[in-house]
This record gives sequence, C-alpha cells and structure tokens, in this order.
Amino acid sequence: MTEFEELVDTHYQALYRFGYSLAKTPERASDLVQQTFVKWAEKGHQLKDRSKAKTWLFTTLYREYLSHARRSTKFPERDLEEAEYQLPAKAADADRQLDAKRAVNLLAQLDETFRAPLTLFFLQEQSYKEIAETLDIPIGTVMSRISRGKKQLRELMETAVDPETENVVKFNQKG
Amino acid sequence: MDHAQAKLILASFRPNGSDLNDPAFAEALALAGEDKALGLWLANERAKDLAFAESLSEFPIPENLREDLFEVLANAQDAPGYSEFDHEFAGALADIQPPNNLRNDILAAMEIEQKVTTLPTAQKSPKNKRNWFSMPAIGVAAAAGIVAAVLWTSFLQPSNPHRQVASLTPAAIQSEAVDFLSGNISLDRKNPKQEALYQFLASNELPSPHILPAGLQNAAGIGCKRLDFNDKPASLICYQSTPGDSVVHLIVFQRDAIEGDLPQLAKAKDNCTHCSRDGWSVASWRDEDKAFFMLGKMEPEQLAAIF
Repeated sequence: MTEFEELVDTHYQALYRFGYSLAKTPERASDLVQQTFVKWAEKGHQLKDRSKAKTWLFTTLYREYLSHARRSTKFPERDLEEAEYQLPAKAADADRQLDAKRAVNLLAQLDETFRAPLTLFFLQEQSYKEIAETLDIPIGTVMSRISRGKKQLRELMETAVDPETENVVKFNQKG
Repeated sequence: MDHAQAKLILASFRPNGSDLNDPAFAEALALAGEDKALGLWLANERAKDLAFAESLSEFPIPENLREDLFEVLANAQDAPGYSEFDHEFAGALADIQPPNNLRNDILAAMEIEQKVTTLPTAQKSPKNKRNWFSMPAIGVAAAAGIVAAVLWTSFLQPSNPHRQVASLTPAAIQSEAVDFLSGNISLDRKNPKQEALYQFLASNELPSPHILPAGLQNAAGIGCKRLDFNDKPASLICYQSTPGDSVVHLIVFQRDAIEGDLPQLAKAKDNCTHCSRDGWSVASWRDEDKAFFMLGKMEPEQLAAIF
C-alpha cells in the first residue's frame, strides 16, 4: 500500500463524519472529502512535517466547507430529518444505527460555533490543541466551546424528539 | 486551580484516554484524583462522552466512498499534462542560468571564424579537387572547436563549489555566491520536500536552518548542495518561492566561520542589498550559531517580501 493509500484509509471515515456534521448531506460530505484529498494530491508534498498530515486534512476540509458556505447562499440547509439518507436495513444493527443518526442529528442542532469543535472532540482523532489549529481559533476558545457545547448537547439530549417515533426519549447511553 | 477551572480543562479530555500523557491535563487530573466530588464528575463526564463518541463512530459511511475517492484521485493524476516528475524537473531546469559571457564568447568565436574564412584564396590547384584540408575548412573546424571548448568550459561544466576569497566577510561571500549561482549548478540532492533536504544535510554534517523567513516556510524545495568557502563547509538550499514562483537560494554557514557581524532575522529585510551585477538581490542575517545568505534574481523589494 502506498503512503497515499494509507493516508486515505486512515482518515477518510473520520473526515466524512466531520464533513457530514457540517454539511448535513451525504453528497456534500462526500464532496468535501474528495476535494480534501484532491488538494492533498496536489499540495501535500509541500508539508514539511508529515505528522501534521491529519491536521492538514481536517483543516482543509473545514476551509472547503466554509468557502462553499460563503459562496452558496442559494441552497437552503436541509433538515437532517428530511434528508433522504437510507440506513442499511440490517435488523441487528438497527439500534446502533439509530443511535448514530441521533448523535449526528443532535450535533446538527447545536449552535454553529459549537458544532465543529464538538464534532472533532467526539471523533477523538485530534487533541484540543489540534482542534484549535484546524479551526484556526485560540486554544482557550476551543476549551470553552467544547465545554459550553457539551452543556447545550446534554440539554438537547434531555428533550430530543426521536424522529422515528416522534416520542420524546432520553438518549440511550451505553456502558 | 479550583473546580470550575479543572472542569473547563477536563471537558476537553478525550474519553478514550488519548490525552493521558498531555501535561496540560496533569494538574486537573491530579486534582480529580484527590477530590472525590471532582473525581465523580470526571467519571460521569467520561462515561457520557464515551457513549456519544461510540455512537458517532458508528455513523455509516457510504459504501462506495473509498472507491470513488481513489477513482477521482486517479483521474486527477492521469490528467493530460500532469506529471509530478516533469513539474519538479522543469522547476529545477528553470534555475539553470547561462554563464554571463556566453554571448561574447560565441561572438568572439564567430569573429575568429570570419578572420579565417576571409584569408586570400589559395592558387588553383592543378588537379582542381576539393580539398577538405583547405584553409577555410580548417578555420571552420578550428572555430567550431573553440566554440565547443567555450561551451564546455563555460556552459556545460558546473560552477566550482570550492570558493576562495581573501577573507570570509559578508560582502565577499555575497559576491562569491552570486558568481557561483550565475553558473551551472549541479545539486547534490533534489527533493521537493524541505525535510528530506535537511535530513540529507544533517547526515553530511552540514548546517541547515532552524527558522526560516515566513515566505520560505511552506515553499517547495528544489535541492541542496555542499559548498566550501576557504575550506569552510556551507549548505546551499534552493527553494521554489510561491509569490511569482521565483527561485530563492539560501546559503548557510556556521556563524563562527564568518568574519564580521550580521543582523538578526527580524532586521534582515531592511538590509536587502542589490548587487549591481546581473540583477541579484541578497539578504543576510544570523542566529545563535548560524549565518544565512538569501539570494534571488529579483528586485530587493521582492526579496524583502519573503520575510
């Protein structure tokens, strides 16, 4: 496996999940991931410190998202519940996939300032210092947004509506 | 540190324990170990975070995303005209400059040829055969040989990396550096990645920079070479500077090899000089143990902009 293939395999899933939390559609999230790796193919060789590749990728994806968001005022944001995203119909995985979708749904309802740092925190791929570098914000601001974002998330979880049943349910915690 | 501060810090502690060895969390973790209430809060916080993180990690990825990625990237790299090697090679070739006097040398060689060919014509030979060893032919051959010799010595032969000056003052080094860079440079190592070049220099016990001017920090490398000035080793590192894609050369010495003082990096951009010969600009500075000479064939303002 080439270095490039290894890089793609190591990071594309977390990048997709981050992209999805920002862009809220699978098509746009896939586009963001593709654009990120195309940019890596073009410019990644300029990166002196190869240990920074992960941060470079997340930063690039975030900037691609912001750049597109600034340009595109014509396309309204779609509510996650309305997205035609089909989950695989395996009964054994249904509960886990429901929790996964609810997790992303909850992140999508957060204030914009909290969504990116909190998603990166929960993806667990980056430390808070790396998150600061990716989002180009001070370290103290990252800590503050993660703390306040979690508080808002917990409040949402207490009153979240299950889109499958329309019932108000508590978030199903594991472990 | 009080509870509120500890909680603010520990809220950013990843639930999978990746941050355990991060000293930024040490004090808050120690406090949580001593204070029961804080410890219970941390345990609860990590449990909730872990549950959410696990749910997020199971968010499905589109089945074909990986294959689509490689297909898009393969198409990008197969696009007509795309060739990383060609790109790098063209960049390296662009740095090769013809010697200063090539034009005059060629004209001088042509003048010799003209003098030969205007000699009085020889008397007709009784046999009237074309003789390739006649004077004009010899003259042409001689001129061609001279031109070839000039081309070899001036153009094809690389610049001598062993320079001798009366004393290693900054001015003398700048002048020698311009002389050297105006010739044909053969690099010891070519690589677009700066790190690879610094590793090569380190393995050959040659000096390399710890801190670069801002404009070079993300520049692509071209290559590097060992130079010797009065038998003192120095490194030549060539960069492809992004603004205008100019080539910038950095010559690095051990500081104690240089006679005289140099400004620190922060003041270097105010001291860009303009060599009157061939349009080269030079900036020089020093840090604790190294001396640096940055040269580019550009106006002084362009070189200053690299800082």
